[in-house]
Amino acid sequence: MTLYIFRRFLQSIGVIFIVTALVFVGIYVIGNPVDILVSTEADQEQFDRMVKILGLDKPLWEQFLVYLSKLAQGDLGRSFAFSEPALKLVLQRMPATIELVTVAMLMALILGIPLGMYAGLHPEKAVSKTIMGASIVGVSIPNFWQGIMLIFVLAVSLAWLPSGGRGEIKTVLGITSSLWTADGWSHIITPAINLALAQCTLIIRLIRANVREIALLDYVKFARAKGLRRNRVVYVHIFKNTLVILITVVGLQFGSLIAYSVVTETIFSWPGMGKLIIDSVYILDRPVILAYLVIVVFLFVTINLIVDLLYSVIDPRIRLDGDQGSS
Amino acid sequence: MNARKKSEVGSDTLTAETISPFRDVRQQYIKSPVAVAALCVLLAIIIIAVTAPLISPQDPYDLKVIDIKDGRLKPGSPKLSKLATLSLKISISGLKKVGVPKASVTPTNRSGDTSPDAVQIILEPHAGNPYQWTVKVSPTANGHLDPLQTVNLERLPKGSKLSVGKKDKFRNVWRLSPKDTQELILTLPKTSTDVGQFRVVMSGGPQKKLMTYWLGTDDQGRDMLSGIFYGLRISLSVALSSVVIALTIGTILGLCAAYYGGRTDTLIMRFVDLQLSFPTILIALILLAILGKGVFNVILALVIVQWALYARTARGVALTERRKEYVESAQCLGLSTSRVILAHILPNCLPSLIVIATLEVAGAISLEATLSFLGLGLPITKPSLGLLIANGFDYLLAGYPWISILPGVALLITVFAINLVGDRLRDILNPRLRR
Repeated sequence: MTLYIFRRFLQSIGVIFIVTALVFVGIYVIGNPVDILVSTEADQEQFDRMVKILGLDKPLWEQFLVYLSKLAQGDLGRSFAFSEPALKLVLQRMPATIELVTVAMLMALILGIPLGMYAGLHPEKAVSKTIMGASIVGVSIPNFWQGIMLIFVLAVSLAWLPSGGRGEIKTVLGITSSLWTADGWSHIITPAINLALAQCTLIIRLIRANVREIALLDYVKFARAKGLRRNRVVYVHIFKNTLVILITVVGLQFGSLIAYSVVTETIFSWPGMGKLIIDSVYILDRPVILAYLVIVVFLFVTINLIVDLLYSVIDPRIRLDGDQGSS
Repeated sequence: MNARKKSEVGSDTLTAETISPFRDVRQQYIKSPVAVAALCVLLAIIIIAVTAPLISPQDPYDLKVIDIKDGRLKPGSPKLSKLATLSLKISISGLKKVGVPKASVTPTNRSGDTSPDAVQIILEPHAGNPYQWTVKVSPTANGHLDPLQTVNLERLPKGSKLSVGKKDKFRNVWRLSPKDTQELILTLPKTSTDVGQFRVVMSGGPQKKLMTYWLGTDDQGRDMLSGIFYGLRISLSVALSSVVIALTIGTILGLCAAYYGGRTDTLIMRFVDLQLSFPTILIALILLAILGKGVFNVILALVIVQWALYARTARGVALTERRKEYVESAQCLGLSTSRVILAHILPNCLPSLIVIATLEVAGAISLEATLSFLGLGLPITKPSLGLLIANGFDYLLAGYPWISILPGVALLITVFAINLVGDRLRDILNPRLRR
């Protein structure tokens, strides 16, 4: 187990290294930042000086080392637009995104698990077929358009909820969040639904497939034959075994939610990381793009690691040492 | 398709009564009415996309035919022909002299597209006051300006007064209705010079209905229906070309990984795993942030996003196929490696790949639309559905919802139809689900 954790940890560091290298190549080699930083009227001398300041005259591997050592110190450059450390900018906006993603994930789970269980337990019922039909529609609706529709219905036509922004924020127990205020909740509902819908359909489909498989297994039949109540079989024997797949989904989809929050935040002008990166892309604020990427990759790798470790806690059949059974 | 036929021939020799795989698929496919309906919708969409320039009521990107005055019209509004216009100069001379002053009407140099005799203007001086005139404007029998729509009195001498209407806040224009100008009283300022001049600018005449904007117009006055047809064309072509390229690259790499195994396999699959662990939207976003907008860049980003999926699928299927006897026998026959891979293993991987490619077309359309919506995708010269929706989003809160909703409906129908067709194909072609 310890060996496995150690190996997974090394792997994670490897992934972060590869991605940072790729991003480095992308941002510092393909596009030349000097062209953007130096005005078009600058002469060759000024141009050369800028190249020197940025360290672009050094060989590529040396540039990469400098970049890595700065990265290790948490220095990802200063934003061109805000002239603040890029990392700080991204971290400032991270709580808003995490808050949105968490609420969306909870919504998706609260709605998705019961519906998926139901559809899995009664696959032939009309309700289940409706749920599955609706889930295909859910998969097909492009996220951004669905967000527009939500604004149109909830904010414009019915005028129940605001169309954008984060609302009032408050600090309770050291956590600054909009979830402490009613105004904050009214602002978070629509964007969270927007993010949650796609996840919800995914959860429904996975749970349904999983439940259908498990329901046919011998131990479930045996539990019923033993005379256990149906509810107990469903909630204890079947549900417990869908947890493995649920954890994978929650873990992996958390990352995908962070990625999709770029779209949602843009539509609902939610002041999170996603909106920041889109704004930065428009004005080619490369340090911020880079900082965002490094943080997102870091989040991803961490989440993947946690998910893998949770497997062994939840399902002892999954041997992490790799010498027994399959994963 | 050639490769498919070969496998067909091969299987025919084994068992006498095999129906061709294509017919088998077709027979199973038509068992689901929903899937058949989806296929019909999809075919219609493809026909629309291919023939867009021929069937569109309007070329939405020909600046000559679009009129910004038609902007933001509701669905079902008619497009009317332009109004005839006429601009006449009126000068009243001899104001300071003794006796009755004279009025004359002459066409101006930008007199409009109608002859001056389309309208009759009568000017009568009031008794005893040379500065007060009765003006009567009415269309004549030749009908070019009948009915009159607008009558503007422009460039009146400073301090002039009219018995009806109000002067524009900023410009020296009195905007009047045709009813007001049947008879009105004009009072010129006393301080004016010997000659008082002003212009009468009129528009009117019969209007023909040229076409109907069935789905309304966007902010620029473009027909939404035509815009959506062209948008479908662009969205579909970008998505399809990216899928074809990614499918080719991914399949070749996946087959190589499976066939050669060892280091080749590890190297390719490590990359695939790494890439598949990140959400597609994130990768595409970053690529376009680095590369910038453009058709080529969008296709490139879509290819990079998709190839890994095909590579993994191709490898998975090819690994099981590789162990089968027919591959061994092909190798024993001394066939070249490329022939074994392409003519023997590939045809058997095709069903799974076709299913995934079909579903991925929907994914690619969605992704491209999302990227274009975010302003990172196609340039404005190639308005895909995503760009149309983005364009309309600005007007959603302003009370013109159809500009962004309708292209979205088109996008939804397309993606939905492809997903249904893909799902059905998966049910038929995927042997694991076919029990």
